[in-house]
Amino acid sequence: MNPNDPKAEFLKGTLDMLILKVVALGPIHGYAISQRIQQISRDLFQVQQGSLYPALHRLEDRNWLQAEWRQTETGREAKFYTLTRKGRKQLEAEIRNWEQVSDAVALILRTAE
Amino acid sequence: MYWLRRLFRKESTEKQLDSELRFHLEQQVRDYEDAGMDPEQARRKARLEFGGLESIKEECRESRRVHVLDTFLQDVRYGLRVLRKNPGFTLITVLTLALGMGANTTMFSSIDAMLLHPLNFPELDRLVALSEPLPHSVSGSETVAPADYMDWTRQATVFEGIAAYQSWSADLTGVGEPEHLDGARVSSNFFSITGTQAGWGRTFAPGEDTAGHDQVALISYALWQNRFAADPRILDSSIHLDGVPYKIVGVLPQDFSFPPATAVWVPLPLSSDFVREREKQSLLTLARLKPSATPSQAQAEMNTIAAQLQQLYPQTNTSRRVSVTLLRDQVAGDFTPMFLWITMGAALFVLLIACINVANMQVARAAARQREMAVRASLGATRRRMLRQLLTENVILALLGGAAGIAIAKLLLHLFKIGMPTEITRLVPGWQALAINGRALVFTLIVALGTGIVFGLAPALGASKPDLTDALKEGEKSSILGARRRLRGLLVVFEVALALILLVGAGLMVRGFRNLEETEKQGYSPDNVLTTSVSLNMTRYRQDHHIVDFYRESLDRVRALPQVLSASGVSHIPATGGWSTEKFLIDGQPGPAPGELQLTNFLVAAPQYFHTMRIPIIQGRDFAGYDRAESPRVAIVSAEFVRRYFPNSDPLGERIRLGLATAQPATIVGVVGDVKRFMFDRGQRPTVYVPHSQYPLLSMGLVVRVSGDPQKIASEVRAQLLAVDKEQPVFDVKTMDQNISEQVSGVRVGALFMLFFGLLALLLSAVGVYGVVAYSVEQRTHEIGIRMALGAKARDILAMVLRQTAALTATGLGIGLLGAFAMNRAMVKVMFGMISLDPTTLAIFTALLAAVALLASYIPAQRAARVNPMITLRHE
Repeated sequence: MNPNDPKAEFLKGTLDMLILKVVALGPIHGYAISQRIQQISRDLFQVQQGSLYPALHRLEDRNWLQAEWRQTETGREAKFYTLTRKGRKQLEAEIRNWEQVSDAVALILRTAE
Repeated sequence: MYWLRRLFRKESTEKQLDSELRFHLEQQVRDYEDAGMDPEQARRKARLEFGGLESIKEECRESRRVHVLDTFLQDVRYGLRVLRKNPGFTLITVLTLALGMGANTTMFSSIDAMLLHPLNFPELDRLVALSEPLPHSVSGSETVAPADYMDWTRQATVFEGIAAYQSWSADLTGVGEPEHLDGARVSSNFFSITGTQAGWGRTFAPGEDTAGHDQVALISYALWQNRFAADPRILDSSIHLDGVPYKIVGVLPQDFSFPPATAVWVPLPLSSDFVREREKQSLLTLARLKPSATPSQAQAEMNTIAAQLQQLYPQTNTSRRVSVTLLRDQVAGDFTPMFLWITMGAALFVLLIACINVANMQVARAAARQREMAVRASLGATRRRMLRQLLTENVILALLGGAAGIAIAKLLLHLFKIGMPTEITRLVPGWQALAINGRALVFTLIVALGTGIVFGLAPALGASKPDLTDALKEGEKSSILGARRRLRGLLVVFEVALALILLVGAGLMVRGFRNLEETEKQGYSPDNVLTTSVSLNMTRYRQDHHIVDFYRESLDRVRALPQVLSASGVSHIPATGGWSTEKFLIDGQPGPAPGELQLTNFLVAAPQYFHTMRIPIIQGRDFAGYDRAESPRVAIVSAEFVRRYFPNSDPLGERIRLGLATAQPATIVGVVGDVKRFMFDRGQRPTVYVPHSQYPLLSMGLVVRVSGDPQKIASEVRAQLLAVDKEQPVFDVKTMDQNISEQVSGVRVGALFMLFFGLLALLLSAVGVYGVVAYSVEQRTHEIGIRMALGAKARDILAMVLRQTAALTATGLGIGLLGAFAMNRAMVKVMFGMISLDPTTLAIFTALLAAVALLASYIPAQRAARVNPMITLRHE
């Protein structure tokens, strides 16, 4: 993610929500999270490690995520994150919030035309 | 306790963090390899994209809450290591801070004991004193007329109750040697209102303050211990006070001493005559506010009541007001708080100077640590992290300083305690509790944390913002250097200013003290005078002529002693704190307006009093043997009395009536010089003396002038008095010099503390100036080398450095002088106008400070002058 990219600022505020959403699909490690976000957004968002890992640790610290060490398909040990109940609630709240905001923004954009 | 567990699993957390990030990296490399890159290229690309491993780790740590405590411990360990590695710096810093904080802890403990908690009554802030200050009150007469007091107890609604008391004294006889006891008469609710339980037995019951039920007494723990050998059978036994039997109903707790130094409490007999007295003010009162009431509400209600009483009793109450003061403030008095706050201010100045010094050292050290900081920054430490680390280090220093400061405070308090005579301190409420208590520890802790943050912040802010590339290379940019030098210069200016203010304050205090000791201004000569007090027992000396005979015979015997030049008696010896006033009228002059009082100091004296005390007789004559009880009444007035009431006429032969208007008039037969009632008295008061033969008082002070050391004759004087009456206690046998020294002991200690703080400030600022100049010379070695290479002589360099110091010092002195003038205004108030800023004190201290500052800079300046340009420049 290029720091000068306007999308960077935009992503920053929603990174937590995106991570929670991706983790909600099932246990997943950090590298896969960054890959997944990039794929799903069709390369629109690239998550830098410098933002991803501190965010993961922050979310874990808040008990929204929990982590355990598991084997990957290739037989390596990796840290897998899963969503906690608290995390699920947080995700729902953030999605609700997001939808409200984006609806409102969309409404303004449409009406102002 | 999740975070706690995690703290201890830190090691594994670190490892996990490392593996997690490594896994990511390796995974990326593999993906690139799968996409067809060669291994070397894939590795490099992944690494590049990944960014700084360490800084990501640090950010991950940062995002966990446990981080705060975790890094704190790390910082503490690191800080301790740094401090251990610089023992010299650590020692000087801790010592500097310890002096500053020790001074503050000492003053805080004093203020805490004597002003904030002078009495250990529960909920002290709800206790107030009600008083009726006299108009044009000389030193705030706090007493209340009994009838007014009775009206208050009936009408006031804001109080849980109002107690009355008055000081009293009595001779204890019947157990061993007769002893004169300080006592108090108190209303029966006195102890319940102060919230005091008897340590043993009971306090007074309601109704015991009425006549017929009042022969009960409570004694102090000290009296019980010393006089009755802690005998448990004392309860319900009888003692004789002034020959009257009293039943002891209780012993008060050890820490109860109110009014101060009281040994025995008896009920205040609220007889019908007594409670009808509305003219003479004789009671002290204290009241407990209801929980819902505030002192200002109480004042408002008392104003209303006072106004009603003015309507009802215009004769006595016309100009009478009621003032409501916190009991705490009343017992602290007028002078103690001013002295303590001024000295506390001085202590704060010392601390400020100490902080400036330490900040200065820190700035110097910050420069030296530039590289260390740069290395840490390049290893991924964030600015916040480094700032926190520096602050931690400073707070550790400050806490060490605080701990050492407590030791210093303990020492200072000890000196304070032994510096004050017990004769005075037993009257100082709170003195017994003077110690470093929990509150003082908390105070020191707060001060330490505060100073740690204050003196650490400025240099820390500068140091943690290193310009990496610049700092890693040796040397500094001159712009940074310049800014830092300006900051340090500013600190010196500030420091010198503070030191000057403090020194001038100390000088004023010391001069004030010396002025007090110059007794010519007191109006008498205290050298070679022995004083003692006698208080005759009313039951044994019922007749006036018995009293007069006792004193005449005693004085005759004392005068016959070898070495005794003269001896006499007076109702209140000057400089011992007591005095009395009396109303008076002058025949042929209009009396005061209704409700107004015309008061004069009133003293009863024996013949030769003025001669013995070396008080000049300006006009007329002394009292003499022929002024007898039956002969015409005579009086002697003071010069001030004449100035005020006979400005244009001869007072001799004029007649005055003392006390009631119907009193027998006394003819003025003499005029004497003015005498101050006590050391701190401002201005002169009109005084009337009357002969003891015509006003026989039971209690008199005796004054004996001897040709040698008065102390040596003390036991003989005592023996002569006991020879007249062996049951008569003789007390307070002291020299006049002792009396004076006790009176001024508070000022003396205050002056000594100020002097100590002033010298401390001088020393610290000298160290500060030295440090700044030494550092700046070191930093400018290169520049100096160039100057010398270009032809500057050693002398020029010396002059250059000194000139710069002189400029800073002069600025500091200028600001300091302004501060000193402001300080002077405050001091004049405290010193009762006895002294004010004089040019000599000011000049001496300004010159002293300038000299010390220049001297302190001379050593490094000389070092600068010895710089060898060849060596310096080659080093570059």
